Amino acid sequence: MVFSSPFFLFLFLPIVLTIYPLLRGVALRNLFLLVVSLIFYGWGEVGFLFLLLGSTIANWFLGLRVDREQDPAKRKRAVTLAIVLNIGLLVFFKYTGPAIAGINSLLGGPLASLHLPQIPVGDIRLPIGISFFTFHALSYVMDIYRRKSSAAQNPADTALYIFFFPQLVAGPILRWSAIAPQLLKRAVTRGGFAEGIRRFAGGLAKKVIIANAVALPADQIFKLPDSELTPVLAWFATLCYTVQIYFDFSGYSDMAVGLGKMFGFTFIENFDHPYVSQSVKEFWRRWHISLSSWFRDYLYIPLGGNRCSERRNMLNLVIVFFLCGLWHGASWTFVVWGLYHGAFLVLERTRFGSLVEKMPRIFRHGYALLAVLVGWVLFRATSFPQALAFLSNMIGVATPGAVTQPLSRYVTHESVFALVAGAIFATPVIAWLKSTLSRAANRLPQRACSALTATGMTLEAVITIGLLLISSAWLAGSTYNPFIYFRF
Amino acid sequence: MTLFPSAEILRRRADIGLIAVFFILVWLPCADTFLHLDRAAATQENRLPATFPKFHPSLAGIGKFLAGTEAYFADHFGFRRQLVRWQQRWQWKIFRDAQGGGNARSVLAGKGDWLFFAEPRTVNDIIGAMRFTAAELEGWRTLLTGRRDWLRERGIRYLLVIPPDKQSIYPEHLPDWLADRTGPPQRLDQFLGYMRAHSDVPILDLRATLLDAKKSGDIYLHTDTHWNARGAFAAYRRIVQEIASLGLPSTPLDAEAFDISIAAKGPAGDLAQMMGQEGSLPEKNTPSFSPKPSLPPTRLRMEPDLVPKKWTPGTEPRVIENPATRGKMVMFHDSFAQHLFLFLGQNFGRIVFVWQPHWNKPVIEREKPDIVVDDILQRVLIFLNPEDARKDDERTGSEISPAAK
Repeated sequence: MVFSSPFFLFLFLPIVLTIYPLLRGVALRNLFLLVVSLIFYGWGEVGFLFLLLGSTIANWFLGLRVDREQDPAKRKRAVTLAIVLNIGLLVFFKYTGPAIAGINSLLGGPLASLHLPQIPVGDIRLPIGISFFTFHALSYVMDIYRRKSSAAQNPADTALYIFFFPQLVAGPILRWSAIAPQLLKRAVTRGGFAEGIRRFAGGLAKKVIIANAVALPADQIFKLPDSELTPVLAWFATLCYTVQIYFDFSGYSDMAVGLGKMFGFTFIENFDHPYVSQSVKEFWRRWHISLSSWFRDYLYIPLGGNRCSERRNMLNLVIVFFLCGLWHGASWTFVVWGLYHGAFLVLERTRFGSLVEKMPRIFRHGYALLAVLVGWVLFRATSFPQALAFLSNMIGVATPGAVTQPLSRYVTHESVFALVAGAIFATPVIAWLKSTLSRAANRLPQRACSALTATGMTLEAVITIGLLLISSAWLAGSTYNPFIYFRF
Repeated sequence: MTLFPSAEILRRRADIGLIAVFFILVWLPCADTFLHLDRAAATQENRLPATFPKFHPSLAGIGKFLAGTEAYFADHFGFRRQLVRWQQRWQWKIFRDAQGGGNARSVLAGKGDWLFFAEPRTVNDIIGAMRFTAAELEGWRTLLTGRRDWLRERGIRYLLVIPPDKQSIYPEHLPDWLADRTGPPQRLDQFLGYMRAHSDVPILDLRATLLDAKKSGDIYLHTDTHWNARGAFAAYRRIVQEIASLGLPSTPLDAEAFDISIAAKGPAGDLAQMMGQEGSLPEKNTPSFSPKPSLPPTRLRMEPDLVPKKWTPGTEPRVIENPATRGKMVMFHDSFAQHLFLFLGQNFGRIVFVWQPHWNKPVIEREKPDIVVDDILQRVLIFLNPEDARKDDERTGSEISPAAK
């Protein structure tokens, strides 16, 4: 089940939001949220529900051991076991199949002379959200190990932390130390709930109105044979994908943050206008913040962070970004994407970084955006040859095929609107507008200030409802599937 | 921002209003299930909506059931019709992209009020990005010569008629980006070239006839995929001439044999319906032909039992009889032939129309016609797998859903 579906929006959500405030006591509310979260997950992935529940129980048990054990060696053994269990689960489901397929292709290709048999690979399906699940579970045991938080006494609390439906399939990646206190005490306030609606509506609009509009041309162009590409097509598809991935992902995160607020939770913010960055380093402070801070706290710092030699520090960065790429997908294109970003971070620690800092601001923005944009080609391409075809078209060195696709086929008015809207709303324009108006209002006499405030609040509510309505219509439109011929 | 006391009250009111409207909005679709508040016209999707899934007590069964309920809800939730209508209206009025979501994205807005059915592979064909492979062409030759030879053994003639897609006749009304790319030979040209070089199966390509006929007025509907009565009449005359050249003498009627009327405004065509623009894109100046009283009366009736299977309503086999003339025909056809019934009925004593691209040999053997005509639309022909069609021919009489309207 996804947030941007009629089933979630018009059935699951109203039922859950209506029952939740009727329940008394945080324990009962937590239990209810756990049950509906399991239903939410089971709806899309019933086959893995019990396996992941079993893993959660194991994490709860090991968390208790880590918490109660006083002997450092035994604590270490328990936390190591938990890490191995969680990483093992992720590796088995996410990487085993592609790894064996890679070995088999070597055995059938360059190593064919060895006459070794192919390794049989079964149909290993990927449980939805396994990457997020694993990082939540790791945060649980690591935070307990570091004495940042106590273990949950009730396994249902551990399960709710991991399975809580707003963050279950696409984050943000929550920390046990941040959520544990909220599982014990939290309040749903009128203001918090209204803010939750505003965040949810904004996120839904980002996903449905902007991201989906540019996803179509991006998908169509990335599916074309390399020979049908042209430089303008490659650039247009890359721009579309750049807007799509940000508005899709940050929209989903906004919806998650908004839903959290409706239940009284405060989640970490996941994005902070990453495309206004002036360096790749800054981009990673603004992009998928819950993931980059997870890697920083649980991997980069334990590796030594920057409190070591310059060379070691650079190696740490490369390791972190190698794993970051691998976390995104079991494909070498993701790994190279991670290493590509890692390379920029290493470079920015050298004289190159000083050079960038001395450039005029507009060039710094241009540099960061271009670096990220090229990275998205690696991220989106399904293979290296495809990525190479796109990049060679983008720099104009590709040989055009006999028949190429016209750009106008893909540049619809809706996609242009989404690109322009994307460019505007990728900047902090709303926050700027709000603060400017607020400052202006404060300079007015009290009556005028009140009138302006009232207008602003009403407008904000009307825009929120308008966005919900438009998004609902666009969602309904996505279920409209007409055929020219009648289909049974 | 410094909040004045009144601002706090305003904030509270705005929040309460927002929360109340939000709850109403998310509950309305469920409420509509019982209260039936959605008064919007039903959408034309040409498909059966998802049915409520059956439950099987197994892990896979539960998974399928849950996915099925989501699909069912997506097709049935309250206010879906109104929301879809809004989306279609806003999309058309604001963006003018002629893309109604889902498969309606294959509707292409041309110049003026001209709409085209241009699914991705059709566009690829127009710009020359899709070519038949040698194996596919040989597959077509095998299928058609096989059909012709099977008939020849029974003393029956054969003709393949190819009604052209609208864009083949009106490329100038396509959007510029596509009109400029109509140069390269298309799959149809490739097909015809191969068939002419490697077989003598009679094939009638109607493009030249219709390109000539369009000089006297519109011959395709603007908001529909099909030709109009004027286009069908031109096609009819050419088909009868071709049949005569195969040794079945017959003379096509002239336009004077019909009363021709023009409807200034008619119902929107299938493409406008796919976009949900029935109201804003009516079909204009639609010609219709009525036989003059001097013509012998013909009888047209549905006979679904001729080919027993589950027919989509309106596509059942039809028989047209004309006691004043002789000759028998069986036509396997698509939706374009609907406009030919009236005309062809004037030249044959009995015609059986079967709306499917593959054959039904028992019908042919029962009818013992003088000629079998395959009417296969350009876009169906260039993307139909001839091997599948050949296998379907062999499965004659079994339950096969019609693949063409």
